[in-house]
Amino acid sequence: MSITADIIRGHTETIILASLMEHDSYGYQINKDILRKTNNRYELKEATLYTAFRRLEQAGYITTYWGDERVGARRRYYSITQEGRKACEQGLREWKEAKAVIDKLLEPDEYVRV
Amino acid sequence: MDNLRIRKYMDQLFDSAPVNRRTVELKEELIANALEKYNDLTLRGYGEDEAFQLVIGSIGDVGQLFADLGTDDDYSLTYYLQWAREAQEKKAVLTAISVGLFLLAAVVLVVSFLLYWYNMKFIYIHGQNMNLLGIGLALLLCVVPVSLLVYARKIQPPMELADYTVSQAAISRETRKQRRKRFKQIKGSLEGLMWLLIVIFYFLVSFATHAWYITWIVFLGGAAVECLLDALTKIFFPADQE
Repeated sequence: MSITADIIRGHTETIILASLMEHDSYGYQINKDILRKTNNRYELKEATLYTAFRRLEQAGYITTYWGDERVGARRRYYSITQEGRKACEQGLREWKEAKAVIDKLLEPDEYVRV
Repeated sequence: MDNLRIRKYMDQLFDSAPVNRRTVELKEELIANALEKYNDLTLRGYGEDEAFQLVIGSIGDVGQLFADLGTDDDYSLTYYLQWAREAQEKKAVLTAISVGLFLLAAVVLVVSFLLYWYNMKFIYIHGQNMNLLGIGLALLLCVVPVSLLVYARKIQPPMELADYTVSQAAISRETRKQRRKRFKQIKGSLEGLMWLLIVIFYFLVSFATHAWYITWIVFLGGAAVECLLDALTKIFFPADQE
């Protein structure tokens, strides 16, 4: 597995929260968003996605309700809560910090030693 | 065809999951999303087999997911009881409406025959024997309750709960009480509507035919319907013996 896939999996919960920031959504829709934003390169396994949903629900970051589709199967929608929004912002801050640290650790030093 | 294939696959997948409400909901959610994905893939030109493989291939390891579902089987009992209560209410309402419509059909038939026998001008239009109208109307009225009863018979527990049989005794006295109360309320409003219709019908027919000496019979019909509804209440919602 590539590093990117690992990192995405490691941030499943924040990614879900981020995609719920704009509007309520459901499992397949969220995965489609991820596919679209990564140019069809990455998507979450269903098992990973739904495990994360349950954890986020228990933490009070999301709430869920059933859609009233007239045709076909019912969809289960998720909606972000106020705490969820805070957790999402927190996750973003942590990621930015981690990214900056990794950048510093991996990139060659700008200052050429003499 | 392939919807069935996905459903079957999910059935097998969920064999190892605990039996409770959360599992039922998770399964419904997974199936809905899998079907949508499958449809998207086939629309984009994937073959049926290819699309099916892609859908099930992206599910991943459900071990952790199922472990999170817990094992509280009481949950499934609650879910089943909730379903049973809703189904029972629905069936009761459908039955009550059907009986009402059957009786209405009978009243229409009887009234039309009475008018026919008394040789009312009302039932002759352009010299045609219009009692056909009465019979036709009565038959037409029967179509609706028959469909309702067929539909009521079709109300089955969801696939996931089909094996879950619960004795009638498990439904608590409290829920039966609520059901009886609900039925009585519905019965009350139905009777109100019926009497209103009967009065309108009485005046319309009476003024049209001037057969005041016989049209009052519709009120007897109304009373009969009310007695029948009372009887049905006692049959389907017997009072608890204290």
